[in-house]
Amino acid sequence: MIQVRNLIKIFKDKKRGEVRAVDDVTFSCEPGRIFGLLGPNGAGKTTTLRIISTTMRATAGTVEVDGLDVRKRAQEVRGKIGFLTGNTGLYQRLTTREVITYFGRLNGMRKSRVNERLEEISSWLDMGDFLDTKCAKLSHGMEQKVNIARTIIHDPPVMVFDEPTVGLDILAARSIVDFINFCRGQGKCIVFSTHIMREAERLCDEVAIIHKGKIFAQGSVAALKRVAEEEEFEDAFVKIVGEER
Amino acid sequence: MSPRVIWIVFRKEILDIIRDRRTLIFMIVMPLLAIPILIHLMSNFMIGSARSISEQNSRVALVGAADAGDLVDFLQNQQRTRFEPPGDSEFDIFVVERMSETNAFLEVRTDIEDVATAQEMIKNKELDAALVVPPGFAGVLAANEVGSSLRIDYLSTNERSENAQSRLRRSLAVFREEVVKQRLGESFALTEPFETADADLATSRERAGEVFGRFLPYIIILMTFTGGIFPATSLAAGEKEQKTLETLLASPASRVELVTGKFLVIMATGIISAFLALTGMYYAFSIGEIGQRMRESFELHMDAASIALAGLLVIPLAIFFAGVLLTLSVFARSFREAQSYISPLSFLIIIPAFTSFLPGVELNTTLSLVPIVNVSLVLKEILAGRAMDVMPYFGLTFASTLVIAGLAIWLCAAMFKREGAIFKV
Repeated sequence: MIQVRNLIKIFKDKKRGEVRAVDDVTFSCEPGRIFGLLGPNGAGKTTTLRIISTTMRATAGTVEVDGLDVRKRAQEVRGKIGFLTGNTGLYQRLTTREVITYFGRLNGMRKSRVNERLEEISSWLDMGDFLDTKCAKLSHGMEQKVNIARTIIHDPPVMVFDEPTVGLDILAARSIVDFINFCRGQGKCIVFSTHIMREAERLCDEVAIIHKGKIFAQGSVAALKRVAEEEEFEDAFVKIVGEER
Repeated sequence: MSPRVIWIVFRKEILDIIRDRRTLIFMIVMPLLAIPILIHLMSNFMIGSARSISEQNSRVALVGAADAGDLVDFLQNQQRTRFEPPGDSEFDIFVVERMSETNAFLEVRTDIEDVATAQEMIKNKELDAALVVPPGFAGVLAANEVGSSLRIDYLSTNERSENAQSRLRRSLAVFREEVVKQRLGESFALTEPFETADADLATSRERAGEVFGRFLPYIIILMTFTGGIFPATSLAAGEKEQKTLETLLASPASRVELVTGKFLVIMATGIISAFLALTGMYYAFSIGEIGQRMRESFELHMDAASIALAGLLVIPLAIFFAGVLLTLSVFARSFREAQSYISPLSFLIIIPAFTSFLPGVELNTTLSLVPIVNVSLVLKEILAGRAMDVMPYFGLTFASTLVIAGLAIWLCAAMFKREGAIFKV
């Protein structure tokens, strides 16, 4: 479903010159599975996910989503993806219903279909009480639900989550983790980035440890622990990243 | 590019900005109420203060009255029009200001003998002017001699004093004429072999047009620009600040569709602002006597064709402004940063927009190609009722504004595609 091959992204920085934010990254993910990009801040996770979701262009390498090249058929690719980042905001002056409808309509859905889908999602996420409330008045947890609803309104086969739990309290983070699991249950192909080991351990079928733009190790959490000869995944992570330093 | 998607973006953005009180203030309250009220108050204040000066008596000292001879008689003779006895006043001669429509007096006092004292009093604003009569002036008059000179002391920095000076000058001109008449007797007629008369060929419609042609272009250009400022900052830099832009870019809408939808909102708000400012001014003209006179000449003067042509010219201008504003907004990290880019830009708009006020600047082929200046001058001609005379320049201005509007759109779309600008934090 998602094929990333030899992906390179170079930024030109006035002070640092050329920066290889993503350096020869290759991985793939199939429907019903969660692929985790695990790495510290500045590792290249967000840039990789931005290239997959077509908001950024790669310097070299290819990315295919459902067989479509993200560079050549970006618009179609975006229609197949639900993209959620941890620091996404909402239109404060619009109501929950208006925000979700806006994204549904941008995804080419008819108004009647948006309404049907909104009812469905609203009952899953228990959003009935604040569907017609302006986003400025929502609590953090409610905002998170709106963001989730907005991401899945068009029922995309691929979900891209960029550090979705960053800055959330335990309960809100938990609901996101449950939601990602729920998406897997629905057969969606999920790419997920985090720097939180426990989340990766709980959710991911396969993990790539990324640091300074490069993938240092890739496999299931259990396999990575075995390779690093560590019982705790965090220790394995530090060892893998540390060894390569 | 799908019109459907553009419409979805446009509708959402309109809904979003309409719900913001700041939009209502910038787009509706300011043009519809604040500007007309301000213009009305300012014009009333200016006319009022000018009128109050012309209605005030001018306090003048006749220094050297003893040497003034017939001049004192002359000034006193002016009392024939209207004389008010001085009563307790220290002023002993009252003269009606002959040339003025008002009932203001030239109050002349003769008790100040010393020039230095009079000058001090003028500086202290106790007096408005002093007419200094040289020694022997009466003798020169009586002996039919020439060469004597009267001096008016006044302060050019004081409007009341300037007014007194001109009143004195007018009275002295009449006095001089009387002296000449007296000296020449019937031969006086020889000094006036002919008379001159002015005939203004401009119709009242054209005169009104001249007034509207000067200030309306400025208001139209300025409001088209300022009306777009708030939506522009909100629609791109605002999206970055509230962290909604990335999600929007991850939707299937293309960047061109997103830019176009946003762009149309800014353009529409600019045009609406200009329209509301004109509507507001039209109704502001209903208030008060001066306002009503202006409204009558406005109605007399404006015709549907002029308004349509002016409106047509505003469209490419609004596109150009929207493109520039949105480009800066996309480039900025935050709402505040966008505003700090746009504020200095306002001067670049205001200065060329001011061209319509400049006397002697005539439309020509070169000026028809200078952005904003061309619109200002063409609008001036259209609103002054000379649309037909400037049609070639209208075409040139419309086309050149359309070209720079196209460039602005291109720049804006390019900026929206620049990763460095979109993901700048």
